[in-house]
Amino acid sequence: MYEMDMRSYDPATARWVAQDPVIHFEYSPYSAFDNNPVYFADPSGADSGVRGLGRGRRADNIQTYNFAMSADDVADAEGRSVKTTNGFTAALAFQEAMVPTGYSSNTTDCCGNKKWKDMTPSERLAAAKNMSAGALQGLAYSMPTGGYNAAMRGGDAWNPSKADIAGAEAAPGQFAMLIGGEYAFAKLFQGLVRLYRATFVARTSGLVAKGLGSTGRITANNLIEQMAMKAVVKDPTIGRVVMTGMKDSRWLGWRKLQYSVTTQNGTKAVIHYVGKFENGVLKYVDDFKFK
Amino acid sequence: MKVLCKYNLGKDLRPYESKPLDKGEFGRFGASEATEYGELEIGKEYLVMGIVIFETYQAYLIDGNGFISTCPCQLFEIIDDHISVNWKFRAINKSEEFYPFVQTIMGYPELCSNKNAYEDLIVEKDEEAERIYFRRKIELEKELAEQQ
Repeated sequence: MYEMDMRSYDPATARWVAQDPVIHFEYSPYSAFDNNPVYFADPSGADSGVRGLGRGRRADNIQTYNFAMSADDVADAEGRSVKTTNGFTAALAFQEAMVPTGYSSNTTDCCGNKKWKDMTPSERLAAAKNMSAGALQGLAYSMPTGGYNAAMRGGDAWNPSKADIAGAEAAPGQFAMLIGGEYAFAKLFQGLVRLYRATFVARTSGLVAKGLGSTGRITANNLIEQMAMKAVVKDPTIGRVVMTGMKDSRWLGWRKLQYSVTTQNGTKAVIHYVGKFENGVLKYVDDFKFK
Repeated sequence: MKVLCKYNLGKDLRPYESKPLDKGEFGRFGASEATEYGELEIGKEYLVMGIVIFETYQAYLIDGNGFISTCPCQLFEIIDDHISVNWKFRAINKSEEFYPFVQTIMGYPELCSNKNAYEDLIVEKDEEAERIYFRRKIELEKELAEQQ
């Protein structure tokens, strides 16, 4: 048994003995090295990455690359202004991140004018407003460990302090933002550029996706489910409470909410998620899943 | 018992709240103003399969297009107030997981005899629980047809 920072690895079964603190759609929460031990390393037990990247640098991989590429379709379907090159930009970010000598803060904006690391906050905001979900996800993943915390305190996401890094590594769940899909990524960027606050989750500005885990199916089986998920992650207040006082230690005392949609031809989509309320106001959401 | 759907939005429940609420605030029905009861179709009749008394409101157990749910009574108008002779009643014990969220349940026998009926049917969407629901629904429809 190998004891890592985040969890223990059992070489006999080639599995971690605890669940992955970072959610991946494609893998078991116990699988190691993204099922590719030749290419990926995972020195902390928190997430697989490319060997050679130092502490404080978060490596990306083929899976997130593919996810970003595919996410452009989602952004297009939403009808927002999307530049078709943005997904490719995100992909380039991943490609850079996969090379130890490169890093995606060198990625240029959508038009190739300026590198992100050289932009002022207002320039990042302007560029990000035109970016697709894929590109945003690319940027989210390209930030170094602690970048989110740095951004949330108003600092530079690409230059997190030691305290930012320590905070992120102490709470790896904060990086498990895939659970809420685009909404979670929007929140991930909230402190950095506040781009989605106006355009995507304006009505949910007080909410935070906790990313504490997943307990069900999170991949849509059809377009109705996909649209329903998009609607509820945009505005979780469209659901209703179906259970209170959850016993799961991750969401102890939270409430379970349900959002359902039925189309005219009878196709249904039901989404369950959990929410934490304060004085009747939904403050935190998590564990979005299809039923 | 049959009801007619009059409303299917959380904002329609606001007049029934016991205190003024902000738009995004969840009230006694566990709904905000933005809440959508997607399974309900305004103007459609629903056969009531049970009545669930929650801590702060009462709900009908109905199904819309096969989707079983509990919806606040205030969203409906009663068009047939006959109750099935086969219905049972159960008070939730305070030691049970759903107390005090669910206080009492009235409806077809299995809804009251199985302590996990609410969770199986509404939360977990358990297939066996749904099979029982629809079997009982067919029986209730026959019962209503014979009465008329």
